[in-house]
Amino acid sequence: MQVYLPIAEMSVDALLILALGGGVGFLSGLFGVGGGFIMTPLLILVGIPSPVAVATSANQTMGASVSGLIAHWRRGNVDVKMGLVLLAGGLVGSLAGVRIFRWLRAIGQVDLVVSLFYVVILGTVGGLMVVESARAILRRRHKVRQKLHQHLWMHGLPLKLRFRASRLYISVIPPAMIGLVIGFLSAVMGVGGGFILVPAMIYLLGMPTGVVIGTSLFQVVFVTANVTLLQAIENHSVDVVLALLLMVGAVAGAQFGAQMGGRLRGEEMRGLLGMLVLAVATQLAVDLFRVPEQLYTLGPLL
Amino acid sequence: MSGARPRRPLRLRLRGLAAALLAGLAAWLAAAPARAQALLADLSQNQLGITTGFTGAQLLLFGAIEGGGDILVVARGPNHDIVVRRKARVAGIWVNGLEARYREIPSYYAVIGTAPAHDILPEDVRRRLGIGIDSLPLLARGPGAADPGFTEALVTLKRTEGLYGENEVEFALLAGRLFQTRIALPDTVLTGRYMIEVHLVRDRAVVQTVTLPLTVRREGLGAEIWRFAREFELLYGLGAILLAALAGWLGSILFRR
Repeated sequence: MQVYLPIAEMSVDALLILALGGGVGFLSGLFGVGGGFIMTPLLILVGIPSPVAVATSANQTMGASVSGLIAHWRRGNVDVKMGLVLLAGGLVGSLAGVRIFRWLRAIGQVDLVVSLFYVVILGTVGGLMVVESARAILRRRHKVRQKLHQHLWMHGLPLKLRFRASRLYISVIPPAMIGLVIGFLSAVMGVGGGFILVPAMIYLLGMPTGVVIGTSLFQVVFVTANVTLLQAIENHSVDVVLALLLMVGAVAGAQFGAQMGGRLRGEEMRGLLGMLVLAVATQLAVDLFRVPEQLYTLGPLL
Repeated sequence: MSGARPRRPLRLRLRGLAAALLAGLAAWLAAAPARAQALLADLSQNQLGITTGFTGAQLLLFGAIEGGGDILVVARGPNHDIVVRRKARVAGIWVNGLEARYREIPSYYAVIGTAPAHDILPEDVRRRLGIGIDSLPLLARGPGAADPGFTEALVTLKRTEGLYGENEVEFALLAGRLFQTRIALPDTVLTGRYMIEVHLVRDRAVVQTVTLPLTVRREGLGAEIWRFAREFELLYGLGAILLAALAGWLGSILFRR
């Protein structure tokens, strides 16, 4: 069944988009991530112009994250104070990101930059995840004890605040900076950024794992909402028809994923997610180096 | 296909018929080559709506000629500005390098005829009337302007998208008098005013031209969404957020664990 996307200005097979949303939703339910980092490249692969893919994927990620946030909020797993500090950075970062995105689009380098960001960020994060989970699996066998959290130099910076829910007394500068970077990536890549935010909160801020997912979802929901709004205003590239189709698929897919996810151990799951992230990065890297089928491309003059 | 097509009102069709009869009568009375109405042509529709189910359209162009000759049909879409970019290898990866910019070029262009235009028209006439892709004023500007490869690529890419074409569809001429062909519009056509010129060619000269307008516009829900996204960008953005929040909330209710 063909559906004409009003903003992308092209027709797509509705069933294909539903299946895509379902598949990504399944993975996001399985691994507890938003799935934006798989969604954007897949949408581009299907032929959706990258500005629309990035903006709509942010919109879709927001919808997927709202469900998760509600669930974690009920259980009291959200450190609101920490979330607000992250968000403050995130709003500034996403504003800068959308502006830069617009400029890149005008000079015709948006596809390249989106791909490069994906390759570098996903490659690094995926690699780290695989290594870390392998270590964790080994550690489980050898029963080595770990400290609650380590104190890093940056925790001693000025503007210290007490984060009761996270049992931390640290400077607000590191979380605000992390929020800023995630906000920027969210605007340029159309991701929620949970897959970077979660490890950053654990390893850089030393937050207890119980509140990490909930707090990260808090930041993701509001930053992707901000990205959606800014992309709609600056680039006119949010396609609500596409977003709705993706969300319907994703909501259903996420439930199956979550059921499957219950059967896997945490470190095994992180290892699998790491491999998935690496696979996406490798695919995009290969595309960057391969001789393009079309040497010339047409684009609107902005 | 785009659902129910608006048909031409009966009044107009009758007027066309009356014109045809009058032309025949005039020709018969004068007993001379019919100059007034040697060519009649019309489109199956003069409005095309892009709806949510739009996957492209085939418009029927039909008509009649009196006294023989060749027919050339030129269809032009609204002008637009476009940029052609060439990828180049930088440090091993392929990036967009040189570009050429084109302003005010037809977004859609198709020629269909009973014979190739350069066989039946003198070259200067053909170029002046803009019949044939090579007669389009595709003026390149910018860093790549000096390289003819950009303009070639522009034409090739437009052709593969079905937006430029030369004799891509059949042209049927029955008994040397009645003709019929199709104007093929892909799903990527721009909205706006299209002009379809039908030329009657005799003895290497255009003896008569009929111009048929066609309006392509967005219709239905998709049109409303597009317009809303442009005119009320803030509200549209807030709406998109609300929609996502609602979908997420519904999801969490439906599958409460």
